[in-house]
Amino acid sequence: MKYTDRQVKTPLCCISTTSSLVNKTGSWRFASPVFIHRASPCNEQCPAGEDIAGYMYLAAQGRFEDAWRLIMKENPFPAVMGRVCYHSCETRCNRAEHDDAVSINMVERFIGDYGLAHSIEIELTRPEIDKRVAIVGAGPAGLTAAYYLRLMGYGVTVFDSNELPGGLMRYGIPPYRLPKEILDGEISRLSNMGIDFNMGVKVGEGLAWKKINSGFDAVFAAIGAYQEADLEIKGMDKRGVVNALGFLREVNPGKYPSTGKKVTVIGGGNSAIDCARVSRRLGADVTLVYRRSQSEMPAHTEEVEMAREEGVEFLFLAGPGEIYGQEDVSGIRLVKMSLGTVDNSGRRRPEPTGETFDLDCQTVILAIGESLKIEDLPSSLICDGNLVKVDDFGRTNKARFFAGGDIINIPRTVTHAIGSGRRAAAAIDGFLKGVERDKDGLNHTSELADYNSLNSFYFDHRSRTKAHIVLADKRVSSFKEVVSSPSEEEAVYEAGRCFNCGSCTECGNCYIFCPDFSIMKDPDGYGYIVDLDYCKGCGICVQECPRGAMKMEFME
Amino acid sequence: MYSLNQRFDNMEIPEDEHMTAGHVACAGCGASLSMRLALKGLGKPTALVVPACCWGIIPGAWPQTAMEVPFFNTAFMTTGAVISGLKAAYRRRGMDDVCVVGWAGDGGTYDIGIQALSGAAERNEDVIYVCYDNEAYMNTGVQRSGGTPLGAWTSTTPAKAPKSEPKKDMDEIMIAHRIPYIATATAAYPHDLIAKFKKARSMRGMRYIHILSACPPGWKTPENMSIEIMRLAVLSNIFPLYEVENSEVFRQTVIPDEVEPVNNYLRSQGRFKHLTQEDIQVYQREVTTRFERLKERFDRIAV
Ligand SMILES: Cc1cc2nc3c(=O)[nH]c(=O)nc-3n(C[C@H](O)[C@H](O)[C@H](O)COP(=O)(O)OP(=O)(O)OC[C@H]3O[C@@H](n4cnc5c(N)ncnc54)[C@H](O)[C@@H]3O)c2cc1C
Ligand SMILES: Cc1ncc(C[n+]2csc(CCOP(=O)(O)OP(=O)(O)O)c2C)c(N)n1
Ligand code: SF4
Ligand code: SF4
Ligand code: SF4
Ligand SMILES: [Mg+2]
Repeated sequence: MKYTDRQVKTPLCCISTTSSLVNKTGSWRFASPVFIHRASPCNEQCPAGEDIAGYMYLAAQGRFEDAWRLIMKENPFPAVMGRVCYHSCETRCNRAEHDDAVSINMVERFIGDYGLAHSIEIELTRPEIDKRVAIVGAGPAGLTAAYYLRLMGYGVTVFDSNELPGGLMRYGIPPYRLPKEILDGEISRLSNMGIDFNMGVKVGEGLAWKKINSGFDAVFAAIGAYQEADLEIKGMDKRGVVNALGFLREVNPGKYPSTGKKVTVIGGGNSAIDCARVSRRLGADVTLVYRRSQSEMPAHTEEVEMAREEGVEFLFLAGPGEIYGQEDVSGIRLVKMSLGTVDNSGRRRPEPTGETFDLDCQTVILAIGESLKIEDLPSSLICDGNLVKVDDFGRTNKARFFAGGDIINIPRTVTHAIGSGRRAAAAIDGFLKGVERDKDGLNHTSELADYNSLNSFYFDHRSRTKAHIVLADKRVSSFKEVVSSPSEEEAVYEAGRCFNCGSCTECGNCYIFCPDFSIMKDPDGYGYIVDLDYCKGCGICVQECPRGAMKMEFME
Repeated sequence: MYSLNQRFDNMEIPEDEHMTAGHVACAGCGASLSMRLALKGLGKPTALVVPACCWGIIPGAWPQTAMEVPFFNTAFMTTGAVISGLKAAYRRRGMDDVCVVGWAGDGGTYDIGIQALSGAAERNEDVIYVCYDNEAYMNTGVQRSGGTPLGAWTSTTPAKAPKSEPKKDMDEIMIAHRIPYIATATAAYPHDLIAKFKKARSMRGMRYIHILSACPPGWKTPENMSIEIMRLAVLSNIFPLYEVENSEVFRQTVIPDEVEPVNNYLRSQGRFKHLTQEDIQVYQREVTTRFERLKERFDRIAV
């Protein structure tokens, strides 16, 4: 080759003329980043399976209606929930390892109130299905099943022996914790959806189960637990001895029974606490008597504390011996207890010491637990002790017959009742369509976004918002709500504390830190996508995602 | 994008990119990400001058390039001189708005290029000089440089006889030049890095930016840990983030909530694997002393 030829072919100075995009560096990769949705621990814990990470994301941006609609996908009672749910979700909040758990329940309450204040209605968008489901019991379980079945397009008829729907949300939980307007507001949304309510009908008495069975395509029974436990002591027949549910039921519709000056409440559960707090509001001096010690009380600590602040006296390690008086109660003899060996509830068994003492009182309220009245249900149902035997979706041994709430083996809370109602609705839908339905859309994915899956460097420290609680002496003067709602500012702040564990918030970390320009905004919607043509598989994006919404998938 | 509950608001990061995928940096390379972010801060018009180093080959083999700004490859020791000349040429052609940026490795800066750099600084050339510091000659197989830290393994300082001299304090050398702007930065703090490049661009005269840049093969670290490790360098005061104006005003731009012990940083990397607990204690003292010396000058108001 002559020198002149070479001069033509090789430029004096090399100038690149082609884009490196022809060089598909994706071929170097042996592992690929993928975007995933992990379940947050709070979501896994929530008995209703709410997408907490999701609605916190929306609420933090002030998108309250969107947040409300998201909650409604799992729970049709957000404003009730924000008041009475025992919020066990917060015990598993990842933020607790960082500073303090998110006040989930407070944000939920704000969102629920927002839905009521703005009268957001739920639109029925699915075509009507020519099948009818009977719901027996209009407590939280029954109403929830009714709501989701109606949304799916089924005809729904609700039967309940009470005058008004709500079950224990109306006739149990006192108005200082759950005002009736709030409950009515959330229930009226259900009646506006075309659900038929047949109140004042006791199935099994006025109307036979057989009739229901033959008149409907499926039945959901959630009749609650109303059988009072027996207490075999002397004086149970005296005037002034009442049981908890009967007492609360009388108070709740706005009637105030007279209790006399001194009230003794027997029991250590939430009902006992409510009876004591109601009695304080009726002007009585109240002593709550519990046979074990304070640490064994099944009642929630927060509730116990509030009762104490309101002037309820607590007497531990004592049990009822005898109720005395002429016709009316004038006092109760109590037996001192000591704690013995551990029983099958894992707590130490209280044993009478034989030593007794007397307490003056005009009313004795027995709050020692309730169970299902088995006789109220069709006899063909298989039961386990005092509970109807069901699978995870509320299916009983009888085809077409489903059960939920307090009559099955789940913890006795409104939230569990709601979760059971929604799972049963999914199972009933599956049954009526002839398909197995084992997924209920509870957002439970197989992977959990635990604290280790987060990159907590990206979260700074922010203190938890405190609930606004009315001062104790003001509280006992009326049945007005004791905890007030957070302000919008507080709700937004608190929602902003949520890490949104396991859910992409489009924060952009993965995009910012990619050395290979391989993370880009999803042109078709939410979130980001990976450009596998160039991604070298370093995994920085996964490592730097603050909320565990990505993972590496290794190739075979 | 939503980052209300995050420490940094990524919405503030400029969206424009001035280079493309298809470049040939190793997976997880801190140097390639540093350039991506620096260009976001610099914007256009910008011209880059790069000597022999990894970044000389990262854009791709001729005739390919990942760069969307002019990029001049130059000889190893010449960066300081070439940027001075290139800036003069642009000015002469009425293109004074072009920001001329030299972008060299630690070998090209601490060792072979220090003469040209010092000259340019002394003349207060109107250019930006960036040293992306991966603490060894990586492109040729991890040989020790003046920027290699005390105790590190490199292919020329094997674990049996790791580097026995401390890292040359190049920042102090640049401070002694009394130039308008000096800053340290790392891609683990992209907001800080971008802000410094924006600020540098808005100024005139000699500006020097020192970027700590993780190198998975050279540091013997997992590829996904590059950001985490650079962050640890900052959080343990091994690589404090600060800026200096006219060698008078010193400002720490990222102050760790809690200072981490150097142990976490050192233990995260294979190149320090052979260090004993005593070595680490020595290391800790070294780091603390250096930081204290620097800290005295932070926020001292110029008189
Ligand atoms: C005092 C008290 C306070 C509580 N506080 C809380 C709280 O703060 N938070 C919480 O999560 N949980 C609380 N609970 C528990 C919670 O209220 C219950 O677990 C929940 O209401 C159970 O829902 P359910 O739908 O199964 O039954 P219920 O709410 O009991 O509803 C059952 C309904 O079925 C109707 N019914 C019964 N038999 C028939 C029949 N044969 N035919 C037709 N209708 C029938 C009843 O009238 C009732 O309306 C409290 C309970 C009590 C007693
Ligand atoms: C004068 C001269 N000597 C040696 C080399 C070989 N060489 C090319 S790149 C390189 C190492 C560069 O190290 P550094 O500047 O730290 O950049 P890095 O590769 O680590 O990014 C060397 C020694 C060369 N190109 N020119
Ligand atoms: S930080 Fe948010 S998503 Fe994570 S557990 Fe707590 S409430 Fe749930
Ligand atoms: S880093 Fe941010 S944008 Fe990327 S997946 Fe995680 S949450 Fe989503
Ligand atoms: S050797 Fe290190 S600096 Fe060079 S391209 Fe690879 S990772 Fe980047
Ligand atoms: Mg180097």
